[in-house]
Amino acid sequence: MNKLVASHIYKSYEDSDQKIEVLRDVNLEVMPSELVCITGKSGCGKSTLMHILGLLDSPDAGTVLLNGEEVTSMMPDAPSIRTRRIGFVFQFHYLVDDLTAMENVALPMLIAGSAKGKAMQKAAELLTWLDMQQRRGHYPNQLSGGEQQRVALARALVNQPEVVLADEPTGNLDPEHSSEVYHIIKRLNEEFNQTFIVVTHDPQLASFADSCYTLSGGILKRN
Amino acid sequence: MPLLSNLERFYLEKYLRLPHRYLFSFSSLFMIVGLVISVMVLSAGLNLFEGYQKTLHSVLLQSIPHIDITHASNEFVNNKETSRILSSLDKNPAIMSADPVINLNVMAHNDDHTRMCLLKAYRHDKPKGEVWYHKYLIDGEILPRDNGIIIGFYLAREMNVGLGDTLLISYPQLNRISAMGMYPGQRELIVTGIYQSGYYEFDRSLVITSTETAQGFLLSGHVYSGIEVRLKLHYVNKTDQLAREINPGPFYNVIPWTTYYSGLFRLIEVEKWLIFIVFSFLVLIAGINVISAAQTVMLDKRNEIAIMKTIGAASTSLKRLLFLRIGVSCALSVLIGQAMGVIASYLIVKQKLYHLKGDVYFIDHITMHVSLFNQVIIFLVALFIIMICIIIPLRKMEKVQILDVFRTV
Repeated sequence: MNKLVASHIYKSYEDSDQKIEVLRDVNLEVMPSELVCITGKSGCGKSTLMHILGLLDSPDAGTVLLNGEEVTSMMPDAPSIRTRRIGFVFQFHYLVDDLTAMENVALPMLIAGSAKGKAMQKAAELLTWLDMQQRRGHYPNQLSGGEQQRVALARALVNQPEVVLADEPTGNLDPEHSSEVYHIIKRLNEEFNQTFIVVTHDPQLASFADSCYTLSGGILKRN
Repeated sequence: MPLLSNLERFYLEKYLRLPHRYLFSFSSLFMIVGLVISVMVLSAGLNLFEGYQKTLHSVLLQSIPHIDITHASNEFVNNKETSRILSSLDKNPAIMSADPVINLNVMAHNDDHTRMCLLKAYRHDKPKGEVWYHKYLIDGEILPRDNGIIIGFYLAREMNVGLGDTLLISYPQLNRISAMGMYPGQRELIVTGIYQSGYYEFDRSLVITSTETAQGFLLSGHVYSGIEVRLKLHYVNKTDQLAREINPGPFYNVIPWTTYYSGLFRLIEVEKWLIFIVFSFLVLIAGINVISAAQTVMLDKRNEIAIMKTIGAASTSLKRLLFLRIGVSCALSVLIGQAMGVIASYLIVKQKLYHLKGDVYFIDHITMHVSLFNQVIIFLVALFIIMICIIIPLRKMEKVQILDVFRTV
């Protein structure tokens, strides 16, 4: 069974009496443990697509199936679906300033209702895997950009989601740290069979992907 | 269902472990200072008023007779009747003492000083320790000698007399009538003791002497104005009931202290809670800072709110988290304010610059009493006001749209 299927997705916005069609009949199938890359020009609707796949926004038409279950009609339950089944990584790390790296990673588990001890243990394991064990007590402002993004990745993974949606995860990083993040994503994909959908401008990251799509004029095409 | 979720418990632990990092930030400084000061004023005000109420109650009830037994037509009561009434009170376990007394309004003079006083004459046939003013005597002898008087500290100061000095007492004497009407008798009495009960009215205008001395210059024989009954302290609250149970006969009035003073204590109680309500408005004003601090926190944490919503936190849960964050800092501020209120009231009690006017407030010194009940009430009322002030801005939490936040970054 496909991990994630988006069928006939339409999305448009009204802008000063003008209707802008951002997504037009977008179809996407992502297989389990696949690393999918979506590229496209700025403002072409990549992030909008990610938001729809991540149940942060609803499409005008179309459906999203997660492990065969139609989730677009379950928007009221979207928070709990996002907590347990979808991981998010953004261009800006969006870590919680008041929490240490380890607490940030544990946060989704705590939101899901896990006990603190269990969440911290899992967070510590993930940070160790990401070679961040020495930095787990540090606050976000004490971490470098690459480290912050690694913490954000660990946070996205801590609840073992079915799919991780990464929206320009290296958009705010220098080439060295970007490369570091690509390799981590690739390793996670290969070692843990983690499914990724990554939106990026970066051709280097696109080259790591199992399949690559381009979004242009609201239409998604497989390269 | 537990009161707090794992997430909320986790945050609460963090807040309490490192309050300086999470709860007392610069943005919440004015909120905290406002709350601490307003609660401090509220707490100090209530501590001082409670102290005043308790001290006045205690001083008054240890000075005045709890039950007065007098003849219905205000006539003197003869020795035989007095003995009969005293023997009827003998076996009452609530009664500490029952003293026949002669009450007389007199004028005290010394040089140019004159003051209207109440003279009370007692039989001094009981051990010193059982005399009601025994513990208040600060100088001289507890039992006045013949022609001796014990006077209050303020009266002595006002009349400029000390031990061994004489005070001219003018008193009405019914059998001394001239063409101009009744004229008073006068007698020089020697000050043999000075007392200070703390009840200003007594300390300034009560003169105590023996019945022999009073009967001597009244030429009245062995008669009394009535009987003063003093109850054991733990029976004082049952005075009305005990007064009803005393039955000296059909021609006597039995008057409990509540007849004269319960209105005063009710008034003080009402004033205390009025002060509490007025000072609570200070907390309400400080609450405006809480509203603005809560709004600032919501703006500051907009990104965090958005990301937490993204990873699945419900708006209700986030509201509770922010409520905890602001609420805990407010609760700590209230506790600090209460503690500072206790310190402030202590300092006010200890200061020497301002004293109460005894002729207005019945006692001349400021006292404090920290009542657990009052402190709990202050805490709950302040917390209630604060809770409302936090909830108002938190209602906007629903309006924080994840995508709006991500788009504006």
